Amino acid sequence: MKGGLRQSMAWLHTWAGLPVGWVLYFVFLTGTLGYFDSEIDQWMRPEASLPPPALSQVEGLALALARLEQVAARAPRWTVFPPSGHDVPHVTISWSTVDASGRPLRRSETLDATTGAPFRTRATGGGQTLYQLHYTLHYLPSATARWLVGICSMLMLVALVSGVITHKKILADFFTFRPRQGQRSWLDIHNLVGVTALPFHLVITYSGLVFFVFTYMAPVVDATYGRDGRDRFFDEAFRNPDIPPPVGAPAPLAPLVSLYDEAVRHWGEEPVRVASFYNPGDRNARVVFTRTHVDPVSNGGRMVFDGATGELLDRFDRRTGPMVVNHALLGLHEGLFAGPVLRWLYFLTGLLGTAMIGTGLVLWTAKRKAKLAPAGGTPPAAVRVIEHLNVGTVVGLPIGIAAYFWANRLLPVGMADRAAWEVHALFLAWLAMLALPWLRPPDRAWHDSLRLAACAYAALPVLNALTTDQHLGVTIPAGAWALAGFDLVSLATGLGFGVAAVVLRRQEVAVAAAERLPDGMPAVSGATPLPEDAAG
Amino acid sequence: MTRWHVASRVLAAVAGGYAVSTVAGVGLVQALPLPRADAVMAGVLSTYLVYGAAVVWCFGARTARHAWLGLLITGAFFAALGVLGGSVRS
Amino acid sequence: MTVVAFALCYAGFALLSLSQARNHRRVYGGDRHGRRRWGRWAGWTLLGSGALASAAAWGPGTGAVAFLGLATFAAVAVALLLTYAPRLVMRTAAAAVSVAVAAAFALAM
Repeated sequence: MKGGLRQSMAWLHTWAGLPVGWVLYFVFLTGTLGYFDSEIDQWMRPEASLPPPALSQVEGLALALARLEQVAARAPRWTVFPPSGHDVPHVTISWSTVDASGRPLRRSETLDATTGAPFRTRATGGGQTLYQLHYTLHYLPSATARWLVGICSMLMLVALVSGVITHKKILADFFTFRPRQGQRSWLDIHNLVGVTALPFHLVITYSGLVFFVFTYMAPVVDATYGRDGRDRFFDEAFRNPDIPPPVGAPAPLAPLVSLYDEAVRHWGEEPVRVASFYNPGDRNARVVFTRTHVDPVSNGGRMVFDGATGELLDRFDRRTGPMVVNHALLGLHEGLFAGPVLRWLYFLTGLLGTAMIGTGLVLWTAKRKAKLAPAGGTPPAAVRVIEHLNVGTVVGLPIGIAAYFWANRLLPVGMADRAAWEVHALFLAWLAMLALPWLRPPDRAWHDSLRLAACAYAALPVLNALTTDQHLGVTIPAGAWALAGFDLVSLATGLGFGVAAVVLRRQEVAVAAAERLPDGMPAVSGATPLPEDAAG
Repeated sequence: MTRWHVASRVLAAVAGGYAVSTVAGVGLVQALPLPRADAVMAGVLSTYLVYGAAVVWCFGARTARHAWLGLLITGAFFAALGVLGGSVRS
Repeated sequence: MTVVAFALCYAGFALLSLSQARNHRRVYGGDRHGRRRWGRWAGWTLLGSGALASAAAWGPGTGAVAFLGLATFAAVAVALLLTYAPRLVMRTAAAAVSVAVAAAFALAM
């Protein structure tokens, strides 16, 4: 390409990023919310007890088994998520069964520690559905969504690399932010959030691709294991435990306390993330403990016990070579090992990534409009369409997410398909925000969206107080920080959008004032600095 | 710089890049002195590095012809690596 | 320990930013080369100490992640302060070092 490497990389950066920018914005924002999925879950199920009772893992497991023996005695497999740290406040159980027409079905319940019975909560997708959006894309078949997200992620990787190559003064401009200079300010923010959090962006993008690497890079596996050898590879690579078929002779489960103590001996306190019970009640029962994530590489540790005798059959923790890399990448992406401080860092850095994508999109239109402004031309249709998509996504998607939370509180509790309609609310609100710029001039649309977003988030705690008894007046004194945190973050988000609206308004007033200056003064376009007095 | 040259580079980057990264993955699996499953894991994990580099190369190269040539050479290198590695192994 | 690590990262980036010619000129007027070089060394040292503090607090794996996260926001904070209150960069950096030292002593007690 003409003009040297830097120019060609700038071209690549633009055209790799722009076409998938909106999808990536969606993926980054919903994925980022996933770092607080459990907190969001709790907020969206206000019927669960407050604060969650302090339940030890072993008590939780006992509670789970009692319930499972009651409701799922015949199921071939039980899964228990015992309480652990801040992530899992309640015991959750799930089991496989069949529905009325004989199709396999998974059921799950979250248990009330005081009664041992499941909570009767509203039907909701909670934080789980919200964060899963970033790879399910909800309305698409899962294979299509996987490939689409994969292609977008690959382009993200390319955009990151080409962005770094094209950034001429990456070190000299490391701390640079020049406000109130239109296009240049957008570029500064884009660079600042892109470069300071570059390790995060690179690792999250690369590891995101690794989740479905066996789909995207299937030929590499097939070349070694044959076209139907995928399962063999997984068994070898991940050392999936050998589960024998049930023999049909009943045998009670070995006392769980001794199994749990074994896990504590090897793995330390609160060692179990998932406990799976295969063939429960059979002489060939197997109990598999999966280890809590304690650091980026520890995930995937596993213990297999004979369920009838309690004998430890297999334990394995440290993987070697490439498996460590694989697990480290997945562990870094999910961030499940992260305690409260680190979780916040993950969340905030994720927002920086989202901001990087958002500012990149805005920058594209700002650049093109700035070029046209001196000539006084109207931007071509393509630029207008992209600007509309930008307004409708950069602010519209957060509004859609707010709508998801509003729907959780406002939809009737007994409504059919309630959980599904929460998600519909998200996409319908987003769709409405995408339509808005077509009805209003873009500048007005930015304003309206920002104000609406400010109101939608700032009013969430109020809505919560009106519709539940778990509002800030209760949650803060009770020290229920997961719930209080949700309300406080909503308030802060609303405030943030409000500030953005005010800043935008001031800039426009300044621009309008500058445009009214006598002839001979240059009209303020995006690229020229605003006079200090006019901007204040 | 015509539209066709850009199209050629895009094709090289998308399809050529995928092909080369797949060949690189398979080549590494054959060449790495690791148990089979570990080698496959290392192979697939490296593919994105190759793919990313290939895309950047395709747009950074001086001409579209260079872009394709670079891919061919890289692909040939990894293929040779795989064949050599495979023969050492067996 | 989070406070110690963040304060060290912040002070490190503050000094590194002031060791850059453009920022140095903006804050101090002139360009004193020797002072900039000293700032660069001190900046990297403080940043390195931030990494060590993270590793000490969280262990090597988790510590590396924590360090990168803290460093990101330390850098963003320095950039914003350079824009809106450049004179405060050095003063806050000095304060951050004192806080880090005090907090480290308090933790060691």
